[in-house]
Amino acid sequence: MNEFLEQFVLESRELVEQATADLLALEKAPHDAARMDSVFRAFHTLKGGAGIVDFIAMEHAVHAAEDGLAAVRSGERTMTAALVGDCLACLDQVVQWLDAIDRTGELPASAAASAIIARFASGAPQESARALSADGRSVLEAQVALLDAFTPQGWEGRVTSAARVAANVLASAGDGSWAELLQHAAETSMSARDPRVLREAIGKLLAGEAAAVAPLAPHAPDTEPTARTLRVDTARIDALVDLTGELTIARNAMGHAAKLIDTQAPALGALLKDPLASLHRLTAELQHAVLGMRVLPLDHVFQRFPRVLREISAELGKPASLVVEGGDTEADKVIVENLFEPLLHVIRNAIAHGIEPAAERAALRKPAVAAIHLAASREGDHVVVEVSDDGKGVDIARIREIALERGLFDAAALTAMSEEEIVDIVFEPGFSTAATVTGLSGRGVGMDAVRAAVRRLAGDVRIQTRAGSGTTIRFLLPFSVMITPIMVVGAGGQAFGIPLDAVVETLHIGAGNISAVGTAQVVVIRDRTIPLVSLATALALRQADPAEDQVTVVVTRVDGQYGALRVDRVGERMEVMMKPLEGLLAGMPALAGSTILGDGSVLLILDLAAVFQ
Amino acid sequence: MKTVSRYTILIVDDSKLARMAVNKALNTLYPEWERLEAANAEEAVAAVKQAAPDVALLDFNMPGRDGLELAAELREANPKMAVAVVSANRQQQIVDRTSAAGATFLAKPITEAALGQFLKAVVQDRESRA
Repeated sequence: MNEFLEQFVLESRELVEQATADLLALEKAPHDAARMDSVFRAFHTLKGGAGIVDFIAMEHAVHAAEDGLAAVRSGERTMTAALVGDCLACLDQVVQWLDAIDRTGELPASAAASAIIARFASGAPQESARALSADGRSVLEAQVALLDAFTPQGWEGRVTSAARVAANVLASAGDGSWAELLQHAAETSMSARDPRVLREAIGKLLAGEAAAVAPLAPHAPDTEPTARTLRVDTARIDALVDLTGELTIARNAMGHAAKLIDTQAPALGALLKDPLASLHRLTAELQHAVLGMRVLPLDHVFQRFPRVLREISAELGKPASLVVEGGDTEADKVIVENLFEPLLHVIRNAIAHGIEPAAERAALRKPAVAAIHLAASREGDHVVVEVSDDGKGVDIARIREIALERGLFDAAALTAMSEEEIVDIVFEPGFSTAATVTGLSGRGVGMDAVRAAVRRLAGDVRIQTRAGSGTTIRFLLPFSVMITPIMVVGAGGQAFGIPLDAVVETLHIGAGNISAVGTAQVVVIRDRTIPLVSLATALALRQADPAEDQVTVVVTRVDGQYGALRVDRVGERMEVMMKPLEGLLAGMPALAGSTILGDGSVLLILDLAAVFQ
Repeated sequence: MKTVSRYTILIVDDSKLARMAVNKALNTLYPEWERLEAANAEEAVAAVKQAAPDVALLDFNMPGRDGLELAAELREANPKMAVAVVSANRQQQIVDRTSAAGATFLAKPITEAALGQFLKAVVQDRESRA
């Protein structure tokens, strides 16, 4: 079922419930103005919703009831038990339609409004088409022909006149209910600026559908289970997420207290062990369940791109078509809502820089219309979003030149780099291959901004390129944004968190294994020479590390790069809720975020990529 | 060179479905515009005070206050904002009151064409004054 239909069913059920309660109250107290307003609004909104999803039969049926209620509101009619009954019958029909939509995922094909409309028309329901005289029929047929001759000018007059003529024919045939339906169809035609609505209504009437004035079907018991969904405001879910986060922090505080107890009164500490383990497991499950509610399909952001692509491709004069796959893949709302800008930038780049000019494509025998693929898929705890083009691929030699020109790397460093590493330079701050700054692709943001935005979401972005055949930008994003397993390390008298997924191993090495290369240090671990950074000196917590026989290092792997981090001590592992940095800390390059520890202190979490730069 | 200017549009309707329908049309018409949504009059007033949107679409039929009263209040808070009142009941009286309040009447459900026409006029008006 598409998201519109789903929302329509949800809202309609709520409105039916509201309207039913109002009608029952009005039956007892017919002059309750607040109830009257409420039930009127419920019917009105039901009608509006039916209009949005193009459920014309329901729109007409509810419209008839709404008119009945409007007459009461304006004092033309009084609220009688019979009118309440008619309105409830209408709601009952609506519920049956909603059930059918729930079962099939589609609007009911055979839905007819005439039985309901007839209830609200004065007099008993009548067969109309059969009662039409031959003259009446030919007049109606003439109106259909008139409406079929669609021209952009003057159609409004035709709709008005066709509706009036048709209504007269029906009035003389003695059928008020169909006249009303036609009038409504005419109104819909006017507001939708589409004469076909009225044309179809008259057509149906001629086809004799009006004869099918069927009695309301008895409410069949549901034989199939219906998928029930509860509509919850996202603010409430966010509140639940926050509460769960605080619960996790409280749990960590308990863990901290239990450890103190354990050192001072081991017997008591042992008592706490099992309940704490359960608490740990339960909060983890709770968090998982809560985060699972806060998801959106990626279509939420993908569906904005077909139009964006058209605009960019028109502006740059490079025809391109968008193929979207996996839009139903879900991810945390925060992730989905923050993906638009990075994707926009990447798609812009693909067209501006990736796709060749038309003449070049023709010479290469590539299709004139370039293909941009936007695809999402779930990979374990991650969501992968890829933007691919069939353009010329990234020009590696050109990236080298620019990196040199701009002084991002020296010639020696560039020579040592693999192609993959060279391509990754486009994410460096200050790099831009744009020869000219265009309105669309140059707004002062480079690929560095894309990577920064994605890393803020605890994800990453990489480029895969195939010379001559295209480029793929691959976003790897967490499914949910909150829990980060970390390891605590101490350096220079302070504690820091390191994302655990970056930790390869921790070990003690002899000081003799460290050698100096220029001002930098390297260490050989398991036959691999890797750069060594002292955390305390890198963060300027002290001038130099004390001379020691044994050095504690954490071997990390970030973006495929190994690094060794010299620390004073290695602490515990924990799962924390990482918060983005705020205030004074926000500008610090080596920090990824912060979290609050069990004892209430703030633990800063390192951005290892920045530490090793 | 054309730059994509970003307007902020406020969509006020107590039906999420109706807001979704407007959003869908905006995805085609002006995907880069920033959207704000409000499900009732209070949220709408708060949004206007906080974000000063360029355009507001107000549902006529809402609990508590009708769209026209709300239009007047929002215009007071943000006189430069363009306002459209949206209603399924195309009664002449409502249409007249809407234009008297300096707002545009749009029939509900909103069609992409009608919304596009209204927003285009808003953008042209803005740019001619800029």
